[in-house]
Amino acid sequence: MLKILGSFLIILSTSGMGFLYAFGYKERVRQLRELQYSINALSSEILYSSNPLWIAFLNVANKCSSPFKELFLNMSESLKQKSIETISESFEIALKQQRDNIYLENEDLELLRTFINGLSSNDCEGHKKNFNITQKKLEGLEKIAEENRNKNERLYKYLGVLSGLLIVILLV
Amino acid sequence: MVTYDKEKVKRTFETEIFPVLIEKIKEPLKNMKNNGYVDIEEIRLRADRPVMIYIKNKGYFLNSNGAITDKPGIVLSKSELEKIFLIMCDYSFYSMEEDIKQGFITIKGGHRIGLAGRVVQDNGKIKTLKNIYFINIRIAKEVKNCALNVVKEIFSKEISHTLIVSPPGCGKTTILRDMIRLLSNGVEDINLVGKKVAVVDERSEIASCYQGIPQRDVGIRTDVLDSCPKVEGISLLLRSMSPEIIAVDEIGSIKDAEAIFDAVNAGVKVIATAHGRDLDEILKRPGIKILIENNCFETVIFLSNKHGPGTIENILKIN
Repeated sequence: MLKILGSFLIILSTSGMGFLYAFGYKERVRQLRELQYSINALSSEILYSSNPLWIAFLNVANKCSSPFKELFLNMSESLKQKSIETISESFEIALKQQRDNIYLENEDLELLRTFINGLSSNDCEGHKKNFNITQKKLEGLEKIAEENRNKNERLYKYLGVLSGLLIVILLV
Repeated sequence: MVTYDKEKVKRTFETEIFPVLIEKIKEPLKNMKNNGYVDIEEIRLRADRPVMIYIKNKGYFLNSNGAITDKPGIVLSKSELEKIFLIMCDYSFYSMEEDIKQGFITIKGGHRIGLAGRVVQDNGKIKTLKNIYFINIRIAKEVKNCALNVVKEIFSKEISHTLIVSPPGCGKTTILRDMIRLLSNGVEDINLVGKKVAVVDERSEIASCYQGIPQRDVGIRTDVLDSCPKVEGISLLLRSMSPEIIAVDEIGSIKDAEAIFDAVNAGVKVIATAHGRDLDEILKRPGIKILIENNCFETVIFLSNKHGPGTIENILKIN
């Protein structure tokens, strides 16, 4: 009886790990899409309404979903309070708080950082270029993420379950 | 002599001026004796030059312990000035692009920040301003009822078309703002019933709109068209808002004159301000010359700084 319960627990935990890994791949794709959507919304806030960043971030936060909702809200607040010196600084602080909920790879974050840096640009032309290039790169990253997901999502799920089974078989 | 509510100015500094400054000058200002900062009219920042503050039109140097002296004190570097400017713009240069082109921005509370630096040209026109290393913070102070005498002067049965003239920094905009408030709310003493007032606030200085909401009291019957060019603004308001009075700040060009000419002849009363010292001086400016020669203004009021900002120097009636 105890043996069955033990093996059950082992399989459960390894499958859990497998599913968690697989979730990461799925979530990265979703978040990259969400990011494209919010950057689109941001571009109309900046280029069309010419709202200052803290209002732009606030409006975008109301339109998009977690974790970017919290990220943008946080940035909006620190810019409004004028408690930081650069926009990048507000981004790094907000990112630190949301790090656990963000399933983006380093290259995605690097792109996001460059984008945020570009927001301090002086004129609309600079902003247009920044938005265009970021959207293009995000599309590329999304494609890669999608491929990775197709390749790995199932693999990790199976791997989790099967490695659990393997351990159980070896032990028994 | 103009007086203002010190407590109110103190709050203004705490919530509007200090947040846009860096510690290096914020602390000395806070340390000024008896909250002396409430008397400041201008704070002038220049890269690699000492910080200056102007009180009652006299310049002083600010020292790091909060003392104001005749000897240079705190000096700000280029990068510190850039930092201050970024914060003043709400970290968003693009949203201030049009303002920067004109050499000023308006921050929350309606304080106007004058800018100078290197101009980037495009076909002889100013494309933008870069290397902004000269910043002048002009603190806007609300002085209620300071224009009561002026309003009494221009009202008898009807309000007359009025031009307010003074050199920069003599309380022109303050008087105009209070006139707008009084005319809009009405003044019981002289049986003045409140009028519909429309304001073209090209530089966001009169109503000090921040994101569209007036930050200063401009009366209950006042509509504000914020940061709109005067010429377009006047004709837009004539068409759409059926005002009884139109108020504009700092007129001067021939185009301004044409727009005001239209308004005067459309049955709307016009109240405007212009830079200048006396009649001779303003008659040298083509736009104003046309208006005065065509009897567009019935009353011209000259202000000076003699007994503090807002001193009425002379009132000229033109029939």
